[in-house]
Amino acid sequence: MKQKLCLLVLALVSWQCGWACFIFSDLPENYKYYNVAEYRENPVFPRPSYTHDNLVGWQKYTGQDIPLDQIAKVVYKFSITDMQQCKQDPSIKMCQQNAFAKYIFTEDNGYAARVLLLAKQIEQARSVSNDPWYYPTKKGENAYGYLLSDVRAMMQEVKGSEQEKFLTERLQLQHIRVLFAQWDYEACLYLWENDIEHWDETSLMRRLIKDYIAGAYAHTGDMETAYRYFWEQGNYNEMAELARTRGEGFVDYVRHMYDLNPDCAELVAPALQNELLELDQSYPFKRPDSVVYEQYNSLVQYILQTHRSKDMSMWYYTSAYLIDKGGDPQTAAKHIYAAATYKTSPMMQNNIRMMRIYLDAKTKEYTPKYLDQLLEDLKWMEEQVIADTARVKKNMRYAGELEWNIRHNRSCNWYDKQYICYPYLMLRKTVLGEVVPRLYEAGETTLSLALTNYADNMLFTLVSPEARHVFYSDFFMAMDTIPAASVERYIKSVLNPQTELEKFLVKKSYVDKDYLYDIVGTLYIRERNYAKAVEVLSKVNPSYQKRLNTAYNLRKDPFAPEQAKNLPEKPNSKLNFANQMHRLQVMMENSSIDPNRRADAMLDYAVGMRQSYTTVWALTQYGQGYPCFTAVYREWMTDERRGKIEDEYDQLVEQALSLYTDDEAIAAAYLRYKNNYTVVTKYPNTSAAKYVRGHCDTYADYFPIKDKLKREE
Amino acid sequence: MKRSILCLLLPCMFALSVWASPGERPVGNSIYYWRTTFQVTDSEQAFLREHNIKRLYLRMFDVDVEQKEGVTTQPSPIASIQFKDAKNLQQTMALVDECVPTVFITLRALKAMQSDSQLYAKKLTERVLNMCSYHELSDKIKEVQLDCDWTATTEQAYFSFLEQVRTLLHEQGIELSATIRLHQLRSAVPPVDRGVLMMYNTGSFKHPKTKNSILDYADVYPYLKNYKGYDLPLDYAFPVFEWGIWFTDNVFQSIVRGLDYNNTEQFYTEDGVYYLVQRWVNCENLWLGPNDVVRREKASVETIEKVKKLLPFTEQTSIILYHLDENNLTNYTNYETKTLFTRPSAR
Repeated sequence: MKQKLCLLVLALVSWQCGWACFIFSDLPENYKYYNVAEYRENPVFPRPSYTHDNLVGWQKYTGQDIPLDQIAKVVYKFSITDMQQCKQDPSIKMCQQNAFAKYIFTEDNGYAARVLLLAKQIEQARSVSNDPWYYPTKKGENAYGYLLSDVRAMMQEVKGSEQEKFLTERLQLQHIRVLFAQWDYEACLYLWENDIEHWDETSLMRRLIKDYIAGAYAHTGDMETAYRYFWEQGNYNEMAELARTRGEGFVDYVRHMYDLNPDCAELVAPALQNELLELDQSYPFKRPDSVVYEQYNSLVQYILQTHRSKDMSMWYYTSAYLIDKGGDPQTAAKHIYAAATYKTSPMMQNNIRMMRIYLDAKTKEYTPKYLDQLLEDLKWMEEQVIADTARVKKNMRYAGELEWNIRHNRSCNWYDKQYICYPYLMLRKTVLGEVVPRLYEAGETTLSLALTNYADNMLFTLVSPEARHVFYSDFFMAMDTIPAASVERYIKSVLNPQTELEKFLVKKSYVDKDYLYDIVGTLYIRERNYAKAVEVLSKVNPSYQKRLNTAYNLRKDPFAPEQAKNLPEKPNSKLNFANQMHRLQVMMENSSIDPNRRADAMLDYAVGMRQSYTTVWALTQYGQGYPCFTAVYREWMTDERRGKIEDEYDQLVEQALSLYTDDEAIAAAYLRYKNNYTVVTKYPNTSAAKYVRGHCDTYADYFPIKDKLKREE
Repeated sequence: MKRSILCLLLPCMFALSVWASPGERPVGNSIYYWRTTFQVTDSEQAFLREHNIKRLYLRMFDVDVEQKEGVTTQPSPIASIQFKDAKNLQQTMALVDECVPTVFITLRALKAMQSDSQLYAKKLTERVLNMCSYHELSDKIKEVQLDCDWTATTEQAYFSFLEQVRTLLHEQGIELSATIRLHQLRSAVPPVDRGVLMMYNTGSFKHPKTKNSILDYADVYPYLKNYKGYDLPLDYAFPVFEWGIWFTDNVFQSIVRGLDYNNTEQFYTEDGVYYLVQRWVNCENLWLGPNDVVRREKASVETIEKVKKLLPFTEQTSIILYHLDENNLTNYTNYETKTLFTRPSAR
């Protein structure tokens, strides 16, 4: 609910405040970080292709050097009608112009042509029965008609012929296809077990038939053999489909794959990645799909225990990921360290290292030794980001597209080649998700700010400085919500970094002095430390505030009551305000000054103070409402604080009014704040009252309700 | 002589009385069967007997298009009914006089079929009749029904499709009917022989403020308050099912079925309508989270009876219940079911 309210507020004020959209529309804790393969939207396994072998087989059959494309035309393109026309009259052009057609229809004994025609007829019958609209009208009916008996008859006919083996094998394939299409799986298996299985294993037809046999085993309930055969054929898609039709999940499919071949890691990786990313749903649709996580975890632990895979790194990486998601980063860290000990591809090595860095940030104590390690880790991660950026730039369709993507809130789908991000995502997840919060909790605000600045701005510094979102960023939020003194200390470290880590971080950070000092000055104004605000804001270029899109708000007069009037445009409104408030503060506290003047100062101070949070809010803040998708989220303007400001205002006003000793002075003060009713009723004999009676002729001017020094917003 | 003339005339008069009103057919209690596997349980068969069900509307398949790897497939039948137990089918059909094969067509399939409406009309008709023939139902088939929630923009395409299907069916001596939804009462009349007015799913189930999307008198009344009749013989279908509508933060998630609402560890309710989820509940691979809300919906007999009073009944109007499922039918007593089937006096 809070997030939705923030979004609504953000939407309402964003045009006013100039909040830009941010590249990351999600929190680091929700980043999808399981990465074991190049992303494929539909990780379908390539099907083995037998076309070439088939054509070569027919070429050998002819004993002639007929070009394969001519054979392909007859075998794959000639229709049934074409075949029948050639058979009827081989002298037609279509037949004569194709060497293979000419051979089979004029030179051969006719068997080859008949086999091919039969195959095409069976194919046609298949397309009818495969038509989703097809349904037989009675039991026993099917689209194949007499084709089955034709195949069997022909198999008898070719016995004893010169090319018996070649033709019989092809006819047997057609035989199996028809039986399979008629759901006669037992017949398929009978033929396989009693004949075809014993053919030469290199036989092309045997390989083609084996696909059907795998299906026949599946249909008759022998799943193990079905899986094994599909595996041996390289038909991994069919394996997945088999698992699916059995109501098994993908996790079962992976288990089958592993049992058949422990080195299947690379094969299953793309699909496994998609499955786990799918499970890893981000806010607000999180579900504790623990059953499915548990199944994957159980599978992976099984693989680790049996230890048969050559690519244990991927399984340990997967285990680390699942265990971390399950809430045990310590054990996850052990597993990722184990992953790093195995040989694997460069991509996996990198991903393992990134996860190791992330888990170290989660589990290690932040000793100086760890910080040294963190420095090395960040240097390495930065190199990955640079390499990734260069790679992505090559995929850009036009110059400037990458910068455009970054500038226009293209969310970080690292699994899309168009977008960079995986190394940068892991860097943000590690730094903003783990290191910064822990440092902040430990009171290490300077280092936490330095890291936040780096994590936020490194990419922009590399790619697109002008696309930087300076006020809608984790870095800004981090500064905006801690004491000004802490931010000032950070600036000192930016200007004069001491440690190697600080020096490294500052190189890719955003260190515009005007930006930083303006923020600190604003924070000091917010804290009512006007003396310090003056000191800091004096370092800001006078024209800086004019560049901000909150400049329009700074034109309002913070000391004017009610609707603050617009002042002529002047540079450095904040500094002027801080100066004025400091002066008023000094006057208020100086008891040697005339009490009426002190009272005046106190009233002006109260009004200025209050309006700096309300009507002229740009004096103390950079926008109203909060960008909600930042990793750093600390609300400073709470209802409680708002209430305290109002209370303080009331107290100051009361105190000021009680200080007045001269009716003329107090009446003038009431008049200044448009309390006309009080002026004329309580101080009728003052020059202020005379002015009111002489100039204020609107009935509303005399309403008591308008007459409060404390105005409702 | 007079007696012989009378003997000759009487049968003729009888025959004339039977054939004098073309388009009329026997009125009777009817019910839809909407499950994908045909397996009628003993209690469901008992229901058919007990309530003298004459006509069974049998969903044969849906027609839809699919998206596969970014490509839209041709319209094709999906979720075809499976007849795995021939004996059960035979036993069940023996209990009814008539079986009406029904096909549901999605709007996107309808739009896709426009490219070759005639072809798809032929394919659909053939498939329905082939299925009936294969499963030896042809003797029971006098009517086929199409179900589609057509809109103003798809009306022309749908009506053209219906005309073609009707032509093909009439060649076989079979009538065509179509479902009519309340909002379609004000539209043109589809070119079919009769219609079934669906008196269920009358509200927007996705809206959190809807009280009962299955049947709410308040939703129905505006359509029927001045309703005098329709230019097509109509039967009326009423709901005898229940479901849950699941919301998270007032945002619709899904329709859910099979929840154990009586499980007080999982659900809390004060009114028997809105159930607050107390802890994570798994329902058909969906996870309902704590503080989610399920709106339990069911059509009460009182509401159905009240709605019936808005509808004109003729001697030919049949009442159809949706749908045959013992899990839902056990929510109604025998007496209540009989009440549901009772037609108000023809008016």
